[in-house]
Parts: sequence; C-alpha cells; structure tokens
Amino acid sequence: MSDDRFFARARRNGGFVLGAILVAALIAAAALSLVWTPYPPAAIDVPHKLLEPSFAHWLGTDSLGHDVVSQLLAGARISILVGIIAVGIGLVFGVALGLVAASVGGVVEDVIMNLCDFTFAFPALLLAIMLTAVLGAGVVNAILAIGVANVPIFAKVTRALGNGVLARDYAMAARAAGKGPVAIALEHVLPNVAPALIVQATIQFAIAILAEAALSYLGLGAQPPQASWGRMLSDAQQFMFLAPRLAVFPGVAIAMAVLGLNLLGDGLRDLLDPRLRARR
Amino acid sequence: MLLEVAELSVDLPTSGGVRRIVRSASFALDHGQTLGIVGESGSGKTMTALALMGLLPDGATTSGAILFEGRDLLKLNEAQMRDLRGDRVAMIFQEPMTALNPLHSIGRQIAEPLILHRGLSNAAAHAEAVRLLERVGLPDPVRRARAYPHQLSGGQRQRAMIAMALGCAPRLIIADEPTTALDVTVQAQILDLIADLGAQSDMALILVSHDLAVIAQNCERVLVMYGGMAMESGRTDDVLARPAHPYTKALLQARPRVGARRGERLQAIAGAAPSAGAMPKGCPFAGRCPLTIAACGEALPAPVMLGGDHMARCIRIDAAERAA
Amino acid sequence: MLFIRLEMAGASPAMTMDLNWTPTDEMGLYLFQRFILLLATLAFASIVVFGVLEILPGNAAQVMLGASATPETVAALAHKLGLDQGVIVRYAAWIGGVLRGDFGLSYAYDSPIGPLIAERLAVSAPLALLAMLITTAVALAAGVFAAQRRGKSGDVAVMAASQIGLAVPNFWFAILLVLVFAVHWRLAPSGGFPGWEAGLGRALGALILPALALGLVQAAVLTRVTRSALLDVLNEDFIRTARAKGLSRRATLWRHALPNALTPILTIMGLQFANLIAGAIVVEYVFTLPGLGRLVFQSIANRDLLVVEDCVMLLVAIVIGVNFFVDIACAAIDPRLRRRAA
Repeated sequence: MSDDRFFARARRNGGFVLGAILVAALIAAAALSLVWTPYPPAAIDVPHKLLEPSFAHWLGTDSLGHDVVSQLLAGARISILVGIIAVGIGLVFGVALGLVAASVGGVVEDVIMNLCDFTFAFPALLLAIMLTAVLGAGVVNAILAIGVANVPIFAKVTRALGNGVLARDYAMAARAAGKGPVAIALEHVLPNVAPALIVQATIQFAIAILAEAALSYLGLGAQPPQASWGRMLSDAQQFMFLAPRLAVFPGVAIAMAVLGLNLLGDGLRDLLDPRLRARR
Repeated sequence: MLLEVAELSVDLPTSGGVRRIVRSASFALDHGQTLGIVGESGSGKTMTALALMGLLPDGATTSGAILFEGRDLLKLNEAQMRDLRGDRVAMIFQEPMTALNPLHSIGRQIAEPLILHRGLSNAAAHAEAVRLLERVGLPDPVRRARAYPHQLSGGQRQRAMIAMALGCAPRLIIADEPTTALDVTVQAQILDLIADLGAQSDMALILVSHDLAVIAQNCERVLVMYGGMAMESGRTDDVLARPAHPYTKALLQARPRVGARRGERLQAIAGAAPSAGAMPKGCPFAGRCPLTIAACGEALPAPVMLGGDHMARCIRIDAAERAA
Repeated sequence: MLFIRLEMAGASPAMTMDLNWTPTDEMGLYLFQRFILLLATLAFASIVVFGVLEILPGNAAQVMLGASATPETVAALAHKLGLDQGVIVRYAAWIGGVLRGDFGLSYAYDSPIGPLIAERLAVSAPLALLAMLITTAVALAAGVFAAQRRGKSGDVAVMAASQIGLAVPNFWFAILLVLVFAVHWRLAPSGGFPGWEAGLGRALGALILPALALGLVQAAVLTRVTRSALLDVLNEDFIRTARAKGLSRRATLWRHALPNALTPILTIMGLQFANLIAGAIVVEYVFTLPGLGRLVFQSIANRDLLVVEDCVMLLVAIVIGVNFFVDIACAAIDPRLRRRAA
C-alpha cells in the first residue's frame, strides 16, 4: 500500500481523524508546557485560591492557588511519560517473550503462555499496591507496575500472530534455506507482527494513562509538586462543595486523551489490516 | 403443480449499489419431481434457493411470484413463512460442519422442528428424532442422538441434517450443494439417501449444485443458471442430449471425464463470470460466448421453446446449432 | 482461562469418534482436571505474593518501624513477626495459617487479621456483586440491541456511548456521580457507609452510587464484547439452519445465537473481574467506604505488611476462583471445551 492511498483512506475514517486530532492536542499540550505555561504549574498562591475562571486564570485556580490551565498542560507530560515508558517496557519484554514462545514452541511456549495467563490475576493496580507497600509511593513504581502488567499482553499478541507467520510458506522456505530461528524471527515474524503491535501499543497507551491517573488519584503515583491529572482530581474532591468545577476539568482531559488514543488505535487497526478484528 | 416460480428477480444491496442477482427466473415442479439447478458460484443459484425459503439476506428485495401449494410465498408475511419453513419446505445446507449448532445435541436439533410444527412433547420429539436418525442410516441412533456435532464425522453430520429436514415430512426439500464439503466416497451415499427418501414419501427435491454430473445422475429436470439468469431448462435427458444454449454446451464440454476428480470447478470456459456490480443489461454470457454478436449485449434474451418444455434463452440458438 | 488455552478449531476427523464417550464422564473429568489446576494456580500465586513482599530491600521490620527505629526495637519486632526464621519456614507458617483460617496478627491494629478482613468484606463483596450485576445487565442489553441493529443509528449510538465509557476513568465518573446526585440533588450520600445494622435500605443506598460508577464504566468493554461475539455468531451457518426450521428471529436469538456468544462473553467477564476488584479499591476510596481497599491503603500507610499480603492474596484468590467458575460454566455450555483439558 502506497503512502498516498494510506492517507486517502485515513482521511475518510472519521474515528481515526478525530483520534489523531485529540492525540495531537495531547502531545501539543505537553510540548507547550515545556516552554510556556500561563503561570508556573507548581506555584502556590494561597491568596488567590479557588478563583472562578477569569481572564487572568482561564479555568480558575485550585485550593492552593495553582493555575488550573498550567496544571492541566503540565499534567499532559506525566501522562505521556508514563504511557511511553510503560508501553516501552511491555513492548520490549513482551515482544521478546512472544517471539521466543512462537519460535521455540513446545514446553517453552506452554510455560511462557501459562505465565502470561497467570498474570491476569494481578491487575496493574494490585501490582502497584504491592510495589508501593514495599518500595514506597512514586511515579517510578507506578510506571514499573503498569509496564509489568503490559508484558503479557504484548507477549500474547506477538505469539499468536507469530505462530501464524511461521506457518506460512515464506517462513518455511527461509527455514529450509538454513536460516536460524533468530534470523527468521527478526526478518519475517517481527515485520509481519508490527502492525498489530502498533495498534495494541496505542490501546495500552490509553490504558496506561487511565492507570496512572488512578494511581496518582490514590496517592500511589505522582507526588506533589508534580502536576498530574489524577492528583488534581483527588485535591478537587476535597473542595467538591465549594468548587465542583475543579473536579470536571482534569477528568475531561483524561477522557479526551484516552478517547483519542482508543479512536486512533481502532482507526489504525482498520487501516493497517481490516482482518485484525476488535479484541476488546 | 406444487411449485411455480414465475419471473423471479432478486435485488441485493451491495457496497457498489443495488445488484440484481437473480434475473427473471421461471421454473415449475410437481409433487415427487426432482429439479437440479446448476451454475458456477455467483450464478444466483443459492439466492434462488434462499428466496424459496424466504431467507434472503437483510435488505434483499424480490419481484415476480413463487407459487407454492397455490399461495404466493412472496406475498406471505413473516409469521406465515415461519409456519411453512421446516414444515412444508425444508432445506439442507452445504456445510454440515457449521450448519449444526455446536452446543446442542443432535437429537435436540432434530427434535426442534417437530416440537415447533407438530406440537410434540419433548420426549415424543426425541423418540421421533431417534427414529429419523435410524431412517437416514446412522448406526446406534440412540447414542448418536445424545452426541454433539463435533463428535460426528462430516458424512454423519450431513445425515443428521437430512434427518432434521425430513422430520415434518415436507413437500419440498431444497438441498444446496449437500455433498460439496464431503469426502468423495461419502458424496454418492448421501445423494442416494436424499433421492431414496424423497421418492419414498413423494417429496419434491431441488438440488443445487455446481456439478452437472451430480445433477445428471439425480434429477429428472435441470435448470442451468448463469449471471443470475436461467439460461436453459428442461428434462435432464433432453438438455444433456441436445443442449441448445452455448453456455450449456460449454458446461458439458468442461465436464470432467469419467475417472476425473468430481467436484472440479468449471474453469475451462474462457473468460470470467460477470463480477459484482458489472452485470450487463443484455445476456450475461455475452463476450465470453464464442457466438457473441452486438445484439447479445443489448437486451435480455427472450425464452425460446424447443419442444416439450425444453427452453433456452439465447438469440443465437440457430448459430449454435450450426456450430455443433 | 487460566492455564487453559481455548482453541476453537474444529475437531479433526480422527478425534471425532470416541466409542467410550458419555457426557457425565467427560464433564467430571474436566472438573477434576480443572480443580487440580486451580489448586496449582493458587499455590503459585501465593508464592508470588509472598515472594514480592519478601524481596523488599532491607528488613520488613525496619520498613514497618521506619528509618528512625533503633536496631533493638527492629530486632524485637522481627522476632515477634518470626522474621528471623528461614524463608521456607515463614512461607509454610503463613500459608499453613491461612489454610487454617488464621491470617496472622495485624501489627498496627494489634488484632487478628481474619476478623478484620471479614468485616471489610461485608462492604466490598456486596459492592462488587452489585457492580457486576449492573455491568452484566447493561452490557448484555446494549450489546444485543446493537448487534441486532448493526450499522443503524441505534448501533452507532451504543458504540459511541461505549467508546466514551472506555475513556472515562471510573473514579472520575464516581466523582461526577457524587457531584450530581449527592452535591447537586442531594439524593444519595456522598460517601461513607452506615453499616448493615443501619438497615438494608440505607446500607444499599450507600452502595448504589459506587456500584453504578464501577458497573457502568465496566459495562462499556463488555457491551463491545457482547456485540462483536453476537455478530460473529449471527453470521454462522447454524443460525440460518435454525431459521430454516421455522424458528422466529427472536427464538433463534435466544436459543441458538446467545448461548453460542456466551462463552466468549463469560471469558471476558472472568478476565474483567480482576479489573473490577482493582476498580472497587479505587471507588471505595472515592466514597470513603470501609471496604477491603481502604484496609489495604491504611495498612500501606501503617506499614502493616502482613495485612497487605493477606489482602492481596485474598483478592488474587478471588480472581483466580472466579475464572475457575467461568471455565466450568463455559464447559457446561460448550461440549467442545470439555475435551480440551485431556
């Protein structure tokens, strides 16, 4: 498929376009916050706390006088950071495990896949709770927990599709030509599995953002003065009767980011391979 | 007449617009008679069969008439059609692997229409299901009735399918490629079974197949379809001995010789069958036909009667005669 | 799902006939095999939970008491908790106790952990059940509705709503519910739990918003699964067979389509249960419900490691147990799955 046709089809896929716009907005917000925010995100200004939205503070200020717009922009950074690292951990270890399982087969495959199934009993949040119980709260532990929970998901996708690739003629031919299993996995399996992995990575990115928000809301993720949408919500909840609007903005930001990534993932799935059907 | 189909047309909405997949098909069938509908995939033969059952895909529209036992099926409402389906008209499908519900025992699936149409109790219906399994030649029917589809072989499943269709003693059985998915050795047994059981109880049979040999052996009458159109029809002996339509001739020439693999597709005809959305307004075989003239592509050829009820739709029959 | 891969490929002709086959034997054998697997999975899970809390850097007693504790008090606590014994001895003592119903002593509450957990479970279990009920009812209804109207406006609306449901974090949805129903309309309490002794109505009233927050968000995923599973089944040949028998669309849906769609739906529900447990922890926090989640957080704050260990093990065991029952239910529905274990 040529690039031209890809973009032509992409433009006609409404969900994909909306998703791409939302994700672009998320990235733009994070990038902008690196060079400019209306106020320093962490600046405490108690005399100006709980201000209504105004020209000076577009979305008002929170209970400590933080500018909400500045915090929202800076919060995008944490979301993206957690998403990239957690998905990265999942991709690196998951794809490696999946390739090994598909290439080696037999007992090794069974053991790896059974371990993957087993980890579904430990949702990311439970893992994070165990880690924070031991190591203390913090973004690093949250990322670690979310990343570890991603590993079996990528392993399963890689192995399932990898087995399909290995059964095809060109992989057989490569083996008959004396290529080693590592060479076949890297030259034949990986490129064929890549589209599905991209789609899955987009969706896991969304799930990672949700998980980070939940952990930070619970106080197990980002710590003050780090700006995080989840933490903003937990602060806002204490002033729900005084300033209910504070509980709305960060939630909308999370939902838009996640919606954008999900739509982008679904759109990519349609565009890259119509046969990859919804797994969710 | 048990069944009279007159000028039946079926339109189906596709991504490329509405497409006419059956074009003015007419045929008739009396009690106990057997009709074969032969054609390549995409010829409209399966859609014709589904139209008789009132089971066309959602969005399909029909015109013409299907008179069955004096009533026009196209004018019946859904509830009236339901009463006929599985009771007066039954259908045997192509894939015995997937046409049976994997979660229900064979006995339960055979009993279902009996409970529905005959009002039998569960116990009576199951006892009848066992008798039907015995009738279609399954050994140890009591245990087979308790078995699930995945525990039977393809041939056994198709026998169960036949038992299901026979349950309410329908007047018409439509078998859509009943043996295509089966092993060669089993095909003949299943076809003989369908023919025998139909003859025993004076049921009419419509056998839909891409394989002219299957039709020749099992059907008194034949209807040759191509591109949604009934090209030629008549008594099987007449049509095979004196084929009038160039398409039928090509079909006969493309027929596998004795000893060749059965079920071979009809690929020896030059060119390709008309594709979706590209249905011509004239004869669908025009262009692929060696006798094509300009007039072929302009209008749907009218039926030409050739003695008895032997019919062919071709404006070049004379030329075809000379070419032969 | 655990340890069993459900491969739905058609049975090969060679294995289609088994002359010694009877239905009860097959199910019994499957149950037995699956039960052994359950025990093995639980044992493995306990080793993992124990192991994670075991590999913590430094001494557990040190973690519990904080950096300021003197070496003597650390050593004394370590001895009291049995931390000066070998790893295997401690694992055996822990798991042996749990099997006897003795969950050990809470260091912070200075009381047995068993009753502590039971008291919290009286809030968390009804919450989880209520949420699951809401999820199932909403998702099945919406999924079936959408599948029957594929591509039409009803389907599009359901899919759009579920897409939003996927994007909304459950704790934010919980906060919004509080904003609307508790702060604005004052229809329900904004949090807290009066206890079951305050009467069924008031207790359930305190649980209804948390259950809605959990259940509705969870329903988004299950709606999509239900829709796609049902669409897959409705394309199957046996659906046409059922209609050819004269069954109505409605009867075909209930008798033939839905049961076949149920195994994938149940499997996803089992996997979702882990998310439900995690979600319950968060939502309990939003509504300050005295459930298991709160106990875990308090225990983390108190550095009460044994309580964390017991609670995590319990939650993991519940997830594994639920998936065991899901597998059994799937095998009861689908005869093809019973053979897979052998």
